[in-house]
Amino acid sequence: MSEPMATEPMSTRRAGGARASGGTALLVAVALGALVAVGLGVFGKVHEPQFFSVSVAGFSSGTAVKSWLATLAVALALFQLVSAFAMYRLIPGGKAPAWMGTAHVWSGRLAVLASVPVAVHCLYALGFQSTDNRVLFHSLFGCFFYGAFVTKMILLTRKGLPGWVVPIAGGLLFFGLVYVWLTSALWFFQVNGIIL
Amino acid sequence: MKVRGPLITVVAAAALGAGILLVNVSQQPDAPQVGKPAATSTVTAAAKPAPPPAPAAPPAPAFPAKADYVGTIPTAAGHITLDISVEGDKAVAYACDGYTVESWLRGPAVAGTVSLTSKDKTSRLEGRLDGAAVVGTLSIGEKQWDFVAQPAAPPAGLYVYQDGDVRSSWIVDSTGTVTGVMRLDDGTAVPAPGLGTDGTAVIDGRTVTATRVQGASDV
Repeated sequence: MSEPMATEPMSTRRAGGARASGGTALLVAVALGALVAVGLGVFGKVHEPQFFSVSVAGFSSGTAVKSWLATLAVALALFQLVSAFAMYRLIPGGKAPAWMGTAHVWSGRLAVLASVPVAVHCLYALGFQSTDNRVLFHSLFGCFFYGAFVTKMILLTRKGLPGWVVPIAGGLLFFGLVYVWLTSALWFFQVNGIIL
Repeated sequence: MKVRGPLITVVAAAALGAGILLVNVSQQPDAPQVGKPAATSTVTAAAKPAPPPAPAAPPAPAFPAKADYVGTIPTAAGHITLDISVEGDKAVAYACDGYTVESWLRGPAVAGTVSLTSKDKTSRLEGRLDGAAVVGTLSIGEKQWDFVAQPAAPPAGLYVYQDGDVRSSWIVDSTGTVTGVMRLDDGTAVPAPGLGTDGTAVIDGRTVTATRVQGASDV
């Protein structure tokens, strides 16, 4: 992402100039992400909540499974933050080792895959709710998270973007996930104790 | 490869989400279970139109000797929590929103169905066993909702404390969340005081112990 000029030909295939194309790509990515976020919210609001809960052996309830999966996702997201800092040389020690990029990609994939079962249960069984502030903000940030995720993934496929775009998208994604976790899993552990 | 990677991630996430959603939809009436074996079996079951009615059709399901079913019904204003407690051939149900709406209902529990009414006949509940859960409709006054109530093990259940004409009723759901309404002697209803995990509540400065209500209890 930090070499916008070298990849100019790629970004010119759609719009006229590289600069315009970068702006368009950014707009398209944000629009698609917004579409996903709003779409999830509308589905959650319109879909009749089923209150159907799958449970995994060894856990006390479906909610416990969700809380632990969400916690796993947040732990991986923390690694995302650290590895991103390393790749952008924000951590003293010079250039990040070569494996850092791969580790960043795969920890991110695992994080989002770990979050998906949780999100499906939220949307399918509970829906978009606003019974109190915690629930409202959880619903909002849950939708926002997947929108930001889609936006960031699309941005990663586009060269010629300003250097700040991907870090901002990644930062928003991290912020979204952490906030979702704070309003759900942390709450669950506070109410029920740290239980499996 | 490098450029497509993120898109593959999106597709993988979407596919996983869709897959789990499919399992949820197809598995709904069955016993809760998760995992790949369940996924394949339910997906194949869903592909054939014949099997789904089969589990529902065989000999009319019967209620366990004692059981509690708890469900939450989203309403325009919030939630109504519902607990159906079955004991033998009798059932008692309580529904409340935790603020001002509440209703006690009673009736028979026969052959996997419950048909309950409130004392003043303004509320009705019709439910039947569907898998392990009870599904049906609840009407309070003019309003009517569909509900799904899942089995809940103690301490989840129905609790009540009556002092003269003041009655506090609580539902504890399977996550331990308490919803309750206190009916005052003038017939108005207010949110009930909190119910501790030991079944005690503080009412007018006194610590009282709530009684657990089961199907055959006389409330």
